[in-house]
Amino acid sequence: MNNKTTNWIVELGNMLQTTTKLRELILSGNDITDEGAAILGATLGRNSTVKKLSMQQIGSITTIGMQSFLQKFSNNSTLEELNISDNHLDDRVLAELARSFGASTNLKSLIISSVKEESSLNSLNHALNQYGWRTLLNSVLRPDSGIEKLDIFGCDYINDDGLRLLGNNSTLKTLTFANSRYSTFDGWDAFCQCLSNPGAMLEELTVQCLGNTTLGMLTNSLGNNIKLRKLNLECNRNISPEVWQIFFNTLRTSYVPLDELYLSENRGINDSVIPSMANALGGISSLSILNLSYCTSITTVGWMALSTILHRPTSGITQLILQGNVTMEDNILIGFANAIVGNSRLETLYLENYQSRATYIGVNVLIQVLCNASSIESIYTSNHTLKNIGGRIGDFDLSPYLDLNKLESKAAVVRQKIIQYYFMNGDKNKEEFLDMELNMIPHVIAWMGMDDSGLSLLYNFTHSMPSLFDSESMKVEVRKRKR
Amino acid sequence: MANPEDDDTEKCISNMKAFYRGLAGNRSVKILTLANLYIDKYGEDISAILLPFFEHNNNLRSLDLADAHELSPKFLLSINNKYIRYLDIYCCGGDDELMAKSISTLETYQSLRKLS
Repeated sequence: MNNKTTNWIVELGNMLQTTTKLRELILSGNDITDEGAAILGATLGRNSTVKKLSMQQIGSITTIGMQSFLQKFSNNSTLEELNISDNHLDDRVLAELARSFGASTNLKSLIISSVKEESSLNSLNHALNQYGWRTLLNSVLRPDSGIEKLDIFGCDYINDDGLRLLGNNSTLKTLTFANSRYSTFDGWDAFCQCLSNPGAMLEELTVQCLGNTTLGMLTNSLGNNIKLRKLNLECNRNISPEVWQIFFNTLRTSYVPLDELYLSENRGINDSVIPSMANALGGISSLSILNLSYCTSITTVGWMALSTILHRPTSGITQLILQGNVTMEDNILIGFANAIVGNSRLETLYLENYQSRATYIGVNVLIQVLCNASSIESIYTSNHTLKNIGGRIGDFDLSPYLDLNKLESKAAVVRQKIIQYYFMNGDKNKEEFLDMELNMIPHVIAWMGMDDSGLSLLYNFTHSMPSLFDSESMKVEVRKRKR
Repeated sequence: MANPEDDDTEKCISNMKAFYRGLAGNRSVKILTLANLYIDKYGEDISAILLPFFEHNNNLRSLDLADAHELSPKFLLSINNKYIRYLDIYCCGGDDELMAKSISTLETYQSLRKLS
């Protein structure tokens, strides 16, 4: 919905009073006035069905309108998820938010990232906003709050007290925030000690603006963590290669059950880091997604070393995302192609294919890995798992092979590859059937005629072996036997 | 000589209308996404073609009309099926009165679970 005046909000409010099943209301991106926000707050305050509300990026609501919305909304005790990201907020709005949900034990998810901060008093801008954030954190992270997801990315005012609150909370499972200049060693020490505690609840952590010291502390805490499944360390640009090496060496010996690791846009990750990264991540069988997009310090040597992860039998990586890195060249393509021989887990290898310098030589190696059509057995042992490489490689389109790998049954993938690329739909290699045992033929015919895709092969097969289907010669055979 | 691009556009429009005519007669579709609908100067035509679908399809459960512009209110007002569960009318056009009138019809959608 998108309209600046308020009649539609009044009608929406009426609807919110009568609805019995509406669970999710998304008003993001609408032009809602302050007056509309107040009406909406009042009606949502009386609503008892909506559990999820998104009011992201509504630039037309001022801080006064947002305060009014929250004041009127404060009666609501049903809401579980609130997203008010990308809006105009100030310390008074944050304090109102704290007051509104101070008593709520239902709120499970609060997203207030990318805040367009405004000061109520310019000269006291930082102090006031720090006060607002502190009030909010004290409220939503109180011991009985029940909050499970908190995204306060863009809040520049996390200090030591804030870090202690975040660390000590025993219900938070997903946390997104950025380090700030107000935090010190003490605050991070407290946060990291909580994270290394065997009872730590955090399962998903996204943190930015870390330095060498803070990542070092975080690294130490991961050594003992047994809960964290998703770690997002994107855009931590000030971390040195040496600290990244320590990070990966620690991961190698830890029991952290990571499923997803996001390391995009980290200049400190260069070729010298890759061996320790490959060593650590190749051994974490739970790791499914690895994102190294826009790590532009890694050269061809590093990418070749990284590809060895995929050789490891313990590697569980299903998505390797390398967008925005190097120009695709034959040797990199060949390196990754060889790495996926025998790998039956990797489904997405997202390479940077724009401005590709790969030639048919490199592309052909990858094709051979996906479908080596030299024999039926070589097709059988080809890679039937890789489904996505992020589009074409220059002028080369590998989608015919990759799309076949998307078929649900691997038996069906192999069958299609044999029909299409070994028998060329019946135009090649028909002699395979000549020496076949006669009792096998019915099974082969049934295999060919299983669906439409084998019909051309079946047609050509019957043409090339007429004796099998010649009823007159069969009758002669029978008569001879009777005598 | 005719511009080949114009020919392509005309062909696309013709195909689009043919598809909508087919859709208009459908009564079994449960999930329909008409997001980013290409309208240009054909809004009235599309509206007239598709109205029977919204009037008579009682199986529709999910309708995405995001960015369908001025057509969204018309479609919403013509829907007789009150069993829709998911409705996306993000960035739909029309003036405030027309939108208010359309949204007032949602009061009868007692199965609605998600509104965007």
